[in-house]
Amino acid sequence: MGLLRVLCGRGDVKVEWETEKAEAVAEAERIFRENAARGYAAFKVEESVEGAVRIDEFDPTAKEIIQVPRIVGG
Amino acid sequence: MLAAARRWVEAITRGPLDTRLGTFTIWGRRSVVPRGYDEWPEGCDGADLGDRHHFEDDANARADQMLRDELGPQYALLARQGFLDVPSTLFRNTYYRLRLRRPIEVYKNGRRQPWRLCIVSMERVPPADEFLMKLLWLRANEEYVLTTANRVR
Repeated sequence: MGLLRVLCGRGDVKVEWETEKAEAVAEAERIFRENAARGYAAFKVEESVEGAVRIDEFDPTAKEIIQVPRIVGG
Repeated sequence: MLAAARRWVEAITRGPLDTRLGTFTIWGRRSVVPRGYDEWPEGCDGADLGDRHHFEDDANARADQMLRDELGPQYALLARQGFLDVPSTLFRNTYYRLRLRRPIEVYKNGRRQPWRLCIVSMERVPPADEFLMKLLWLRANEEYVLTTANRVR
């Protein structure tokens, strides 16, 4: 089971998928790509945020992916 | 003139990495807005990015729950001391202190630097989510944070 969490003004939106179900994976990937096109950055988190890795492509085998809005200097 | 140029080249090609990089503006860009230590009512620059700290209760609750999930035992530490320290992977004896709704403090050799690193989300997100974003970016790409952030006092 994979989990995509997208940070937004509503807290976060969760999308879960089962790796065996192609349709669920495709839908999660579609949402991932949609957010990526809006400039969202993605991080793959396996055990904890300490080992977070930046990714550019959707990884259906990931345990958890967090997408966050773009950051700028304040 | 030639000797000065030679000294500059030597400074950036020798010595520890942080000394060398200190020659460049790696520690963020200097902000043009003068501010006191705790003047951060609306994000780092007071820019109108929406009402940053008045989210619906359920959005705040969800963001807080997510931060709790992601931090694990460190969440209790954050709640108790009000900050989390993230060691630098680029510079020796350096760590970043993250607080909710505050710019990132930088500590070198145990001493807080007189400036802080300010990054904000392009979209309004609850404070707990912004904290998590900073943590993720620092863990995954510290260099990007340093080159994106504005350096503020």
